[in-house]
Amino acid sequence: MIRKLLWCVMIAGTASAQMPVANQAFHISGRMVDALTGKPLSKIVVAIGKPQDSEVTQSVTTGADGGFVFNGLSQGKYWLVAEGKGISRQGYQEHGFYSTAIAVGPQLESDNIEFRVHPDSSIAGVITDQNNEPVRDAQVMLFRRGLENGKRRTVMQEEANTNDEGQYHFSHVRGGTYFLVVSAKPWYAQYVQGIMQQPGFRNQDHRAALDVVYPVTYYPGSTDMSNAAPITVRAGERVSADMTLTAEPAQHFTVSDPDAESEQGMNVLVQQRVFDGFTINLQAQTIANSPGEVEVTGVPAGHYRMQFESYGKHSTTREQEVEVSNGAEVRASGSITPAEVSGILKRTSAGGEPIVRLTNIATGEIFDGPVGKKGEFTIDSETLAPGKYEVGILNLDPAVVMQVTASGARASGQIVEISAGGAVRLTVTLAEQLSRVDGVALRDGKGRGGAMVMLVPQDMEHNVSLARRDQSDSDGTFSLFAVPPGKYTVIAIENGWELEWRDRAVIAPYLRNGTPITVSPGHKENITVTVQ
Amino acid sequence: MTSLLRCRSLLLYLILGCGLSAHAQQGSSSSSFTISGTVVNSVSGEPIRGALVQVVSGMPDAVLTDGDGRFQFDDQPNPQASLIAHKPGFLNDADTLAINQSQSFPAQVRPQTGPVVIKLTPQGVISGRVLDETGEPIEDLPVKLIYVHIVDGRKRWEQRSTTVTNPEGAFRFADLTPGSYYVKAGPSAVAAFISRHEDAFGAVFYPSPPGVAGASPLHVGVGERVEADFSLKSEPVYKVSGVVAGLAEGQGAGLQVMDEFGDVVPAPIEMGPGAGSFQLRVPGGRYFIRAWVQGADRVQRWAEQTLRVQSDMNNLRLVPVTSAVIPVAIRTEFSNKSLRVLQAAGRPFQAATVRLVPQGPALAGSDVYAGTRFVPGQPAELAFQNVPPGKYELAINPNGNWYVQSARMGDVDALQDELNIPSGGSLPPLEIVLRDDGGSLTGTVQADGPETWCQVIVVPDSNRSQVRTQTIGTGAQFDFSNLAPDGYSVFALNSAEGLQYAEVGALDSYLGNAAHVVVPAHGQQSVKVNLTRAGSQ
Repeated sequence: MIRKLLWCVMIAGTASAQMPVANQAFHISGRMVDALTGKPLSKIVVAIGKPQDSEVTQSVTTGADGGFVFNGLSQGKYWLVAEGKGISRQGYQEHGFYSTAIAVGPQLESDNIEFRVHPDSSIAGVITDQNNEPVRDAQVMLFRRGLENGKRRTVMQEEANTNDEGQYHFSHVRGGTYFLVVSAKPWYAQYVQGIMQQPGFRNQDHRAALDVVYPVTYYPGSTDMSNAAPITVRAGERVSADMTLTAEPAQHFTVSDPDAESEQGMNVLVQQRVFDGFTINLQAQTIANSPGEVEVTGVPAGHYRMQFESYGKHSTTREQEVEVSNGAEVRASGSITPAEVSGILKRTSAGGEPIVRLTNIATGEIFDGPVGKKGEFTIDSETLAPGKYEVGILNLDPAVVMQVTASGARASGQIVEISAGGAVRLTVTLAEQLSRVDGVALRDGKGRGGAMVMLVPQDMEHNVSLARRDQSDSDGTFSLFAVPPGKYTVIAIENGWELEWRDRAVIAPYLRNGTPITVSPGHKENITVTVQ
Repeated sequence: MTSLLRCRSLLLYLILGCGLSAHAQQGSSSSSFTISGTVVNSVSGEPIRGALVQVVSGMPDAVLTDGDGRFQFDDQPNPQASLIAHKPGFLNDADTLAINQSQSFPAQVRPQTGPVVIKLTPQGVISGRVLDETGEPIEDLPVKLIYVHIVDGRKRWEQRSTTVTNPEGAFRFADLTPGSYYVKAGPSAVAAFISRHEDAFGAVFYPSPPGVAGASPLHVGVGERVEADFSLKSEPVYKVSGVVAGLAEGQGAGLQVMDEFGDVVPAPIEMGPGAGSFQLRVPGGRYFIRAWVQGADRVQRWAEQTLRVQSDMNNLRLVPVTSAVIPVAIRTEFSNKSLRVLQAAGRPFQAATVRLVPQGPALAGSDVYAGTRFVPGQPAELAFQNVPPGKYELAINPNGNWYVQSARMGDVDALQDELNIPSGGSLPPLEIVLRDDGGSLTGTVQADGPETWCQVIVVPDSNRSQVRTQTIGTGAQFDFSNLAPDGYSVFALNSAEGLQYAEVGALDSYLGNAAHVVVPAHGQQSVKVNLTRAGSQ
């Protein structure tokens, strides 16, 4: 079952009273246990509701043995959700947006459910400097390695700042693999900058000791990302992770814009890449030397991505990779980022205020363009970096992007690959008649719950946004929504939730035993799929 | 020492005199010197390592102290230099810098001074844990720090910072200047919880009895670490639903729930279905609920109701009424009639800043300022608009050489009495009279012992609500101008926090020993007063 509005729960105070008296012979019962230890969990609230809406129809608290019972249920499906002290809200067999609903009715097994829940974990620690003094106001970033849209990525989860004792903490952390990254400034940096700019500051030893910065540091204490150590957090665990930052000399370098005219100014943004396209903006200081030239300081030696924003008569944004060292003279010669990404949306319906959205596949950055009356749109592309983008449509339900063609860029399926410079014009074709595919996932002829069900389009690489997923409910049934017309293969995989399904090689072996299907516009399909 | 901490403006640089003979050494050139010293914790005397010491006048230089708190600047060419020091967790030097036990200011170094000792005053910390009735820590509970200070002779509460408890139920407020603080824990955020029956924690002040009356302030001295542990009892969460009456379909309303301290409660409020209907959930307790609606005429209407939530409450009906509009008329009286000619039309508008200071629950609302009100077809007027109902005190700050002669609202003497603003209804205008024939009063404070801060308090004979104060060093002169012609009692108090003179009877014990002086119209008087040590009268 896909989680739609679920868990934005409203309490229906009178729902159970209004239920029809007849046909209430069914029940759901089970036991709640700690997913890690298998121990029963008492005093945890369990609630059920109908998949069609998010209202709780019944809620109970688990007993000393972890047991829970819901009686007097009418035939149908119910979602199951738990929440309590140290237990963040979670669904039964939850996998991200998906969970298994319990089907109740004649010949359906809805008792003896083992509801395995994952208690919250925490990560906490102290950030100190090389003199063992606490670093206050350090920015501590928590990254999690996991599957995102079928791809294994390391994604920023949460951010915390250290207090006056250098302490930080992340509570309500799920079990998993994490990385910690710390970005901070020495506390005296705020005073030092002004002091050292005073004419007459001659003491070079003092200058060197104060003109320092902390490099971005990875747990357990390296400034090199390849030495970042994963922190494995198990459900319910309290992990302690302390770090020490070591100050390094701040580098001073100049950036010049060869095309600068008088009156032209420049902003310099120094970004450090961390995991999977995530960048940290370093707090560099810039001083304008002359038109088209700035002096930059406040960053340690290293390799950065820089953005040079020239403003004045002509505004351009250039991007390039820069190796920073003392006295370096950087020429802003990187290619100018796309001047314009615009296009036309082809649709049969009228009205609404649709938005075309480009999502950078590597970084997840999004760029939107509202669509005008004649279908024309222009993407706000000032910081749109070269790369692969997925094209989607917003505010137009039901509709999905079927096909993108482009001039000035390469396009296939819903993917467009934009290179630097020049204008890009897109033609976006929609599918506006969508279908629903229902089915049942079978194993040994019986409905199987908890399997990952996936509708795989042809040429998956360029049509990922047409893929649909669901988790089979306790009777094996599933529903795949908003499917555009076309040829697909539906597969069901037991324990399939950790698969990198975006990788063709991973998914290909399953396709042979999948169920091929041709979806025609506005049709409702009903199929069976074998669980592999 | 504490009295010194109050005044930020106090200039306290460390000035090293030209004849630093005891320590200044001949440098490489004949006229250069070396300055060295230590930065220490003013309370413990322990050296502070890693403090930033900066030469602010003299040759620019800066250095971090070593492991023993020591610093040294060589080759200082100038015969005089000023130093300042910084370190997180310590008050900024300009507030507190003192050297060699000297408590006076400005800090002077005698030529015989040895190595310099810069004292930094540690900041205070309030920390604690919040536990439930079973001794389990409460996580994610909001905790607020409220600073208490005296403004216009009255205690005012000012929210300084907020935090939430960690998984151990612990919270911490660091970097506190010495003073009095209240700590408020809760209420817990009532989330859209899946349970039908839910408990949550209401708001309490340390040391956690119910109600405002039980709250007691925590006094944080210089560098003190104060513990404030709470034990909270959970309350069932109840549903409160009702309707804001008189709303058209699709018309919105603002809705706010405040606890009995006047603090907004983070209760989930759902509007609809149906015009003006709402429902919200709060832990059992006392609340105010307030609704406001802005009509097409841009006039705000308010409804306010006190709630005592002990069970689910349905069918609450809030009827917004037009908020009070109080026209303000400022009359300026000139002692010299020829001056009046110079007064341009509309000038009385700007003659004073007029505001209403809420007197309700401790944390309730901000001051309401009188502003320009446009009425179609009529000249703009000065008025209080959109005044939430409640009790207020009037504050008038003349802009120029005026004093407040009188302020009346109907039968009420607005200078003496609280103004009770009802919800809606027409109110008589507030009539303020300003005059320009005030006199001035200057003087000095006689004090034994080292110089210190004091508050000079001037109380008119005929109207004790029009007290004026100044905070000065005991060596300086005070100077009050635009005083209404009257007799005045004048005294000086070495209270660090200031006197709550607006409280009934607060002045009584001081007036007996006060100097008395009559300030005539346009007159200039001077007076010498003796310093009264707080608690010694």
